[in-house]
Amino acid sequence: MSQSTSAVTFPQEKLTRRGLLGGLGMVAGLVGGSTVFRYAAYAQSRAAIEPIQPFRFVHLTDTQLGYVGDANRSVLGSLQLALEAIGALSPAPDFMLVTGDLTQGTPSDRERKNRLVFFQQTLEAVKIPFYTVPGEHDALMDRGKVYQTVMGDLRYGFLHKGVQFIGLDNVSQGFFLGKDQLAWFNGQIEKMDVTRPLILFCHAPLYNVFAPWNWYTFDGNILRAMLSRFRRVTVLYGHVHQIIAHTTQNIRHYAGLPTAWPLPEPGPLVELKPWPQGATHPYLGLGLRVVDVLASGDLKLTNLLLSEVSHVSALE
Amino acid sequence: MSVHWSKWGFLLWSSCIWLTISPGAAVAASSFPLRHRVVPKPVPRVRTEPSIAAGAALYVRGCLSCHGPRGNGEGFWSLPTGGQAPRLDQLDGSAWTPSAVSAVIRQGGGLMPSWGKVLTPGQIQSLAMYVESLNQRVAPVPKTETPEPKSTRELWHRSH
Ligand code: HEC
Repeated sequence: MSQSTSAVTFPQEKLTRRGLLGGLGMVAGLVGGSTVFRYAAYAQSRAAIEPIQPFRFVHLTDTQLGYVGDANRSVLGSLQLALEAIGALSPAPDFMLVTGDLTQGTPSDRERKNRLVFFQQTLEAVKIPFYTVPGEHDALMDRGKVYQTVMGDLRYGFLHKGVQFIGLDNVSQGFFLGKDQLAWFNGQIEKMDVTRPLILFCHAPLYNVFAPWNWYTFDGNILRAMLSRFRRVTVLYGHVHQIIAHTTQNIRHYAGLPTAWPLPEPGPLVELKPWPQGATHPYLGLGLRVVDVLASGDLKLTNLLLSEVSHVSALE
Repeated sequence: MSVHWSKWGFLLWSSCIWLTISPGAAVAASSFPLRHRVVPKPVPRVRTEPSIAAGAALYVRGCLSCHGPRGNGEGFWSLPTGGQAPRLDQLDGSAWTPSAVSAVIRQGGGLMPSWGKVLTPGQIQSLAMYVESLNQRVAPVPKTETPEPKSTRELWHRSH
């Protein structure tokens, strides 16, 4: 790796409040008569919101516990290295989001349960709360039955220090959200403030990265359309085992680094396969993401490479 | 470039636009925020009958990854448990009746997704028709007459 620093930031300058107000002048001409009304409504809705308190959280993904093979000869070892780095973060994260494929897929319900319990115990040892969503390895085989008994709901939302979070399941029935979940989601966002930052987290991307590798959500377009009124939506996902950043209309999508193994870039119509883990660069392409929520509601994303976690102190 | 000029020019220009489009825009503006005002395009309501062509298009979006091109079993994505999804072009016709194929697409099972949760019955029927078409063991031979071979002499004439 020639890049010496592992800190990569994607400031969300496009969606800041200042940008929004700045844009107001330009939009004024277009919206004409309703400008005053709209501006007043905007100011009012801002006043009703409790201010965002800055905080930090961590995005972990694709830990694949239970995997045995050449792509990573110790998935537990690299997860533990990531957890050590997280434990050393200062300021400490409020929680960890884990976006699926916590475990490697298995046809046996019993074995799946063991692996999920083991995952849970491994993360609990760090004493930082965590939220998870399922990956297809965890949940497709039995439609998420075992996952629910061990990890809890397949989809849910929570509010943390002024920021809205929704975890989605786009894997347990297939690579889609499904009509039921879309209806549920619509009900959730109906009550939400469109100016408050909304962070979605799920396993598969909510736009079509590459359908031949199942790197997509069949009905993701419906969910994205439901969010067209929201101003600050960020999606954190996994599944693709590499960093991908992309914008669809008003939504920013960021794939996180896996701790298990990297995967090739999408594009060629060939069978998707990981490489054998290199003896000289065992942690190549592995890592995690630190997300700092600023008081403005902007997100500062920092990707940490496992090969360079000794640089963690640089994050302070 | 003069900043002032461009700003006022823009406002003037946009007021003209505003006067032109205001009746429709007032309705559209009321329900959208400032930055992401998307005016939905009218979608014509066309009732499409299930068809092999519609099934083929859905297959590429939803099934190709696991079952491979034209159901040849060479998917580009291996299953979480290792191995590949089965091929769909050599189904045993006695077990896989059209209704059984529709049912497995709708309900799924194991690593085969439950497409009924996202697709309409019409879309599932299209997919079942497409899968059936992949299993047409005896391809219907188009009725055309094989032309008699032309004599070399005639060909020679034609090419000059
Ligand atoms: C995530 C991978 C995956 C996707 C995507 C997928 N399938 Fe399947 N499919 C499977 C697996 C695995 C089986 C075998 C299930 C079993 O043995 O229990 C299967 C079985 C089937 C069968 C029954 C054939 C047999 O021999 O068992 C049909 C028909 C079928 N799929 C059609 C489809 C269609 C149509 C689509 C697209 C709408 C689709 N599949 C998408 C994985 C997939």
